[in-house]
Amino acid sequence: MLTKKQNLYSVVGKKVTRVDAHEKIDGSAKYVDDLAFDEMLFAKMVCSTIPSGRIKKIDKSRALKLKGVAAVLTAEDITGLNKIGCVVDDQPLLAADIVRFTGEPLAIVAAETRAIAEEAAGLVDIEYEPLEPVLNVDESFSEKIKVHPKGNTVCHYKIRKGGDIDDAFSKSHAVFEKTFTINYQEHLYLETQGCIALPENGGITVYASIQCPFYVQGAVATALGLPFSKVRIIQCVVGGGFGGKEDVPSEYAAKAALLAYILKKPVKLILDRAQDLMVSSKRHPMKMEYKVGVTRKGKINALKVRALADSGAYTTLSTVVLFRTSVHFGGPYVIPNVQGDIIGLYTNRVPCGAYRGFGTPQVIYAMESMINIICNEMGFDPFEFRRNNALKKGALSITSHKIKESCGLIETIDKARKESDYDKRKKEFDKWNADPSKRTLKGLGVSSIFYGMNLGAKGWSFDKAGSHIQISRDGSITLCVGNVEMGQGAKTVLAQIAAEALGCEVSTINFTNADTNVIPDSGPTVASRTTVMSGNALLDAANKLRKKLIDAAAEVLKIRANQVMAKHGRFYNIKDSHQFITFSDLAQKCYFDNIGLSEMGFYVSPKIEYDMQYGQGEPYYVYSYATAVSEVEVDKKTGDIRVNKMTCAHDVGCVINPMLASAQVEGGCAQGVGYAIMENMVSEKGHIKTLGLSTYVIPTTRDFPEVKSIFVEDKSKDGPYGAKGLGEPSLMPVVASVVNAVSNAAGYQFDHVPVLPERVWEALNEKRSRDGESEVK
Amino acid sequence: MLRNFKVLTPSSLNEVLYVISHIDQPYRFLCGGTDVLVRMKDNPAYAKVLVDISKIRELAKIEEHKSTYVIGSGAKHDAVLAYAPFVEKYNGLVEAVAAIGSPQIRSIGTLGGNIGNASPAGDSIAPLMAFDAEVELRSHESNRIVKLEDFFIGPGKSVMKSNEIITKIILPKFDGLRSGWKRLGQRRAVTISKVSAALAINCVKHPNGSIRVADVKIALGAVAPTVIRARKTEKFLLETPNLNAAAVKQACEIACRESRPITDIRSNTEYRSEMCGVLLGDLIDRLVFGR
Amino acid sequence: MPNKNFNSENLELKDTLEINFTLNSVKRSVKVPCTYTLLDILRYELKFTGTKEGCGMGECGACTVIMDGGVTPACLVLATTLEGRDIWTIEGISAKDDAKPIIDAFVARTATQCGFCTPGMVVASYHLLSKYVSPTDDQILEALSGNLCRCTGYVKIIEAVKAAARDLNTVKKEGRDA
Repeated sequence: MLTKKQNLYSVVGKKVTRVDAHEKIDGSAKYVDDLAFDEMLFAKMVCSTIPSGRIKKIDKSRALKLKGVAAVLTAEDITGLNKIGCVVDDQPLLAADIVRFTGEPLAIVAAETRAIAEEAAGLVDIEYEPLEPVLNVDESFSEKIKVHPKGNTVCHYKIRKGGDIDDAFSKSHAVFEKTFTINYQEHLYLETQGCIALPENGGITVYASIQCPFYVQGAVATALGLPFSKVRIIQCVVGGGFGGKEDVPSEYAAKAALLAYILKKPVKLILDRAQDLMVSSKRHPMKMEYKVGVTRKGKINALKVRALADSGAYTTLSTVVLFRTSVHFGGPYVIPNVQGDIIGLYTNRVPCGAYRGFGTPQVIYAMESMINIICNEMGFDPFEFRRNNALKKGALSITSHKIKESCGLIETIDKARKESDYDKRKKEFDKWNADPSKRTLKGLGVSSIFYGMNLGAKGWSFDKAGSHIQISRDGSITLCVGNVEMGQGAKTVLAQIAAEALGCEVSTINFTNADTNVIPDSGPTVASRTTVMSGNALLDAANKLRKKLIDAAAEVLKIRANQVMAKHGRFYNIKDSHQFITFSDLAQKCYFDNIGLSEMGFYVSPKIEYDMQYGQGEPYYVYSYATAVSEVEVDKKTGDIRVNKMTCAHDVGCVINPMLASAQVEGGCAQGVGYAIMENMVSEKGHIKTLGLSTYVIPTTRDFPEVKSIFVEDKSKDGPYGAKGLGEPSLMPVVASVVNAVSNAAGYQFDHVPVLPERVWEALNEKRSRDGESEVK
Repeated sequence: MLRNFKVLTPSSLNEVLYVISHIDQPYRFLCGGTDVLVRMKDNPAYAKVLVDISKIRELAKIEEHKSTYVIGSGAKHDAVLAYAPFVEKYNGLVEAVAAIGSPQIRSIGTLGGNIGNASPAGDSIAPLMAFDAEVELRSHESNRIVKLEDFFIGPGKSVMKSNEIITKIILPKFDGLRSGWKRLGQRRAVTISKVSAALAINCVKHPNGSIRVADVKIALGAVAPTVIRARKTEKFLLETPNLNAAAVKQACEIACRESRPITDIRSNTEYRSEMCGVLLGDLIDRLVFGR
Repeated sequence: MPNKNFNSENLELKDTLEINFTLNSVKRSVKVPCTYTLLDILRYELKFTGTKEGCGMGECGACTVIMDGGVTPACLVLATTLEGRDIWTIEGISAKDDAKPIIDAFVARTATQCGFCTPGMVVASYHLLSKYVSPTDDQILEALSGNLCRCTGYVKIIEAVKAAARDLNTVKKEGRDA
């Protein structure tokens, strides 16, 4: 496959090194905190110290007396609207009457130095009348206390497919039920949230660490009461996003912009790590009740799911995140009878929103755990069972979406089995586990996923992207797209896509970072959509330029246009490769012939039809697929877990850059392993207790397994060169496969994530006393 | 960002002793900074004055005396790890110090800081306590030696007075002791211990195959308000006629009972208590039975 | 004066300090608030922004510099303790000839994603390779254990360090042969 592609394409499919590597490696890349402007002030947010309460008084006087303080702003100082909700208008930019979570911003301070701003923030005196907080989804569901006057339901997605669900269960050979819970996950981008707002041209310019410049533009314009055209957002180098810099940076940008607008000075707002951990959004904790009916032959016949998601104090992106949950809770399987209820609930805790996988790793963990239980109890092979139920061309998903193309799921299952050496390892592990003298137990776990590409039915109106390509007279090229590079390698992959289409070398391409003054609204940099959306937008522009270049080359070479081939910075005569003109010479010729070599491109995601009432139709135009196999080792005495190896097979349509693709998979595995067995956000009475990197721990070099990544390339007709997204799928199967492996090692299906050694130890003890086994040798 | 404090920069131990006996504000010592600065970033009221002792050379020395090793309180973790006699004979100490923080923390953090901080999870403390180490506390007026076992009185609390400084850690020399240290953390590196154990032990093998414990010292970390010596376990082991599997098991059970752990964000009471026994068993296996 | 050997200046409370140190082989003198850390001095005072602040608590490794030959979190070095020290930051290290194989290996193996941990990673790698010419796998894992990365899963970083070690050895060997 690769060999064929290597022949077909000159740049696509090649291990091109990152176009932004040097500046990041030698430290010269400019992140937002690396920028400074004359007379710049430093901002600090004043945040609620209680989870729920009425604000009785905000006294700024002590803070304002501190030397070097320029302003302390509260809700009443907002020049535009005091609203920041991205989808639903339920969240103020600064709390005015009521605080709904510990960490909710109430005021914002600006001062001459960061130290003064921090001190002043501590001197803003707030008097509250504390209210009883709602601290979990069950309390919220009971509606005994309302977080918002309208009630506690943020959203409720229903999926109804097939016949009566109870009837379907009664006709199943075996029925399995279990409830799972899963904790928060924190993005923990190494660069905390931050921005600088500058008063400029009667409006505001914001430099920021962001995934979605156009969201920020809207939020700033709303808060300040300015037209969009007076608000310019420029993306800086982004030190990691993972969803955490989707909607959330708008909150900080609007606050800094308000200060800058009122004080007429540049204002920098960088969150410190503790505040970032306290106030920024997280992955939704969920409680998930699963019931699965299976036929004698191992077909999933019925699935009933009720998932309660802790949305926190405000909707933020919950409605779109949980839409995705509602499409993916059944996994990549054909299930004739489905009843799903996905409910988002307000609590007096930190708002939850976007995080790599967008509401799906939680339900995938639950669904794939159910499959593990079914396979173990009924004696099915985990790969055969998944294969037997897998989506394939012509099959219907749980939303009755008929899969028409680009479905490499079964191939990922087969490759994951083969490349992980599963059958041999399984035998070895069974033998190992039967030996009582061994200190550890070993386990293998499997998980398959699918993931809808782009924004889908719930976000189609935002699902567009623009691009701009400019070829200078020396043949060097400047690209700009509206989606951002945040570490995933977008610039490199997009440069390859453009270079392939233009016939130039990647090295001649330069990027202008996303800038709302330069590029049309391209929607958010989320949903693993950048390669597809910005890639297609670039192809649109590149193809227009290519036509001009080829016509010009044909004229020079005195051949017909269809005889010109463009590759590696040369335009050849297809019949005689010695007859050519270089890209730069051609660009110069076009310049002097007054042929404009600057084009805009635009792309719109394929239109889809979906019925929200019953959750039936095409929620997404196409899906990525993956299967992961984990190998783990569990200490019998301490419950300590070591993930030794992960084998991940991903159907991504087309691999644009094999090195960056495997880098995505490795990074997804790291976050997934952390989520599965390590990252435990502890929250007590509405206060997060793990506000540092020594308490909220993520994997180090010593915690990370060997990763083997395999790619399947079932081309998607709408993807650039057939590509689909990989950013989120890379993380998604990891949690479930690791937990299944730990469960298989311990002989106990773990129903809460993260699975910590304490719980494993407890489960092993319970099992020992149940089995009447003697002490571990 | 740090704010609202001043610094004092004495250049000799005498100057240090003088300033701390005359200072009238809450102060803290600054040497490596790995604990004090973290606390001050969390809580700017933690100290109004920092007394910089990082340049007091006499505090950074490690010296061999006739029957002891004397480690200056300002000796960096990396210096302890590089000191050949420790690498040869104090394996338990080296294992523990090598696990403190990260390479970055070990290159600036100091042993005196780890002790003075008085965390029950301070990783160097368990092996030092097991080795019967003492600390020298000096003030302008006096000079006293306190056993490490008697030094701590609670989390973050010690018998050190506000006009005193830890100048030395005194480590007795031993013959025949084999030692080790083991811990469980939230991850495999750069982690704060949920529970740790240090064991120093000398066993004599009888011609009939039985094993008698000639000397044993056990300290447990993160399972009580301070690092503790497991005296009852030690006594049991010393009185055991033969250190067989049953005796080891019993010793581990006693160690569990000697611990008084709490539930916090890192772990829980039951697990921590049980793990005292597991870690001790593992260390006995390694040091006595070579497993 | 309680003792004639005492230097009265040492006994005074200070809120600003004049600090002399060497930065990337250049002698520097800065006058800063005593509350400044080395990281503040680098980033705010001297505009050396390659050294990043990821947590400010010595827990992430993004601000790793080399101080007197040891890997050091710049966020936990207070101005007062900086006097007379020899500091190397990413800006100085990346310009050194013997760092080139590391830089090249990081580029070639795409051992960076968002890049925020990368300068610290390069500094820690440089320190490792100046200590051990052919580090073992365990030495590499240990040397980089204090540098958190949220993007890469460390795989390509570790590969890059191994490649750089091989490259450095080849260069050294060739140097000897010539």
